[in-house]
Amino acid sequence: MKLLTRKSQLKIGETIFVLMIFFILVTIGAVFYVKIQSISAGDEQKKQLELHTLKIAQQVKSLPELICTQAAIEEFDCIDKLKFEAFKSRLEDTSDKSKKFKQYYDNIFLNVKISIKEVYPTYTASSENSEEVDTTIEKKDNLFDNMLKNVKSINSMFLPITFYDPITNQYSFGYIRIEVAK
Amino acid sequence: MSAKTHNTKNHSKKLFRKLHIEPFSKKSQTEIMGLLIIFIIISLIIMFTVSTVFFKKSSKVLDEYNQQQLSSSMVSAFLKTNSFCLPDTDMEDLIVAVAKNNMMQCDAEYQSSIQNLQCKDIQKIDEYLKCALQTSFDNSLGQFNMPYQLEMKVTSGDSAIKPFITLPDEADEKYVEKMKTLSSATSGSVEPYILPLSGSSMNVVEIWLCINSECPEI
Repeated sequence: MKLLTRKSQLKIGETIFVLMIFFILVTIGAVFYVKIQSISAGDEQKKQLELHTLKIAQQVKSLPELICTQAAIEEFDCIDKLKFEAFKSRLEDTSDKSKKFKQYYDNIFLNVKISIKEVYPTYTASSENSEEVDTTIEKKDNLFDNMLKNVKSINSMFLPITFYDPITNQYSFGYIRIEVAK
Repeated sequence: MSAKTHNTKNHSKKLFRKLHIEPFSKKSQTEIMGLLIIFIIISLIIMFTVSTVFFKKSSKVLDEYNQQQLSSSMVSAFLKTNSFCLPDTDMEDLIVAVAKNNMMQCDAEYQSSIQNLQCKDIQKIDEYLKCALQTSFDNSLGQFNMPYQLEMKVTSGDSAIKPFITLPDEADEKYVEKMKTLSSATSGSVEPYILPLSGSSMNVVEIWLCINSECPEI
């Protein structure tokens, strides 16, 4: 009788041990699965942001407000200096009429910062020291800034372009920098 | 009485051995084998999951764009830029002139008429072209921490003549540093930009701009 009791106790102990191991394995599996899911979700989010950045870049490159035209034919990867100046001053204008104009672009380029820089023949280097940022250069280069504060991640890309000056009929080399946040 | 008890104890020991000890050791061996099999199966599952999830090649849209599109956009935008060396010429004309060994000089008077022109003290067109290329690419690609290698060479049919422009330049102070960043960057496939040389139908200029990777040895 005693033997049987001990045997059953051993059996109960064994069952409890097996159940404990089973639940530990299930917990580890669940944690592992959640971790994998979060990694894949992060990757997907990053990919979506990169695709969104490319989409914005294509939109900026083909803006009729900026693109060069020769005899009504659009030129690829080219920005008209005069159009750029006019567009920029309209965006910076604080009158009621221009506010509506800016609002229109705010809706298209939500959480986007666009800056344009000429590199050749003239190049004005911005200070490498972040504490001594030359605000005049930064202001000159910035075309559009609709970036919200406290953004999670920023993706930036640059597009090489030529600037066309219709007055001197000269092309210079530069780039558009696009920063997109989510 | 005591002999009877002794007999019962012996009998129970024998019974215990028969019933528990001997079959128990065999049973435990079988259970250990079972556990081992479970352990191996779980390990295989974990290894498979880790290899497919953690070590899978993540698709980076922007990196692919930078490899495939950026180099051709950079070259085509540069070729369209005015030379600022001679009036009414663009960078493409300068490249063709250097490829044909046409050793012209830059127009100093014209250069001085352009405000804040970089490379304005250089008169030889091959040196001027190299300076313009380096300034343009260092101040654009360099600003975005994108290492690059540029090679321009004339090819006739299948045979390639020695490159006439190579960047980073060996004379550059940061040459070793630049090459180190290039070799550590990810490798990628790149196609050359072909520029036909007028007058000679077989000869073309191949412009190799490899961003984030070293150009392939051809």
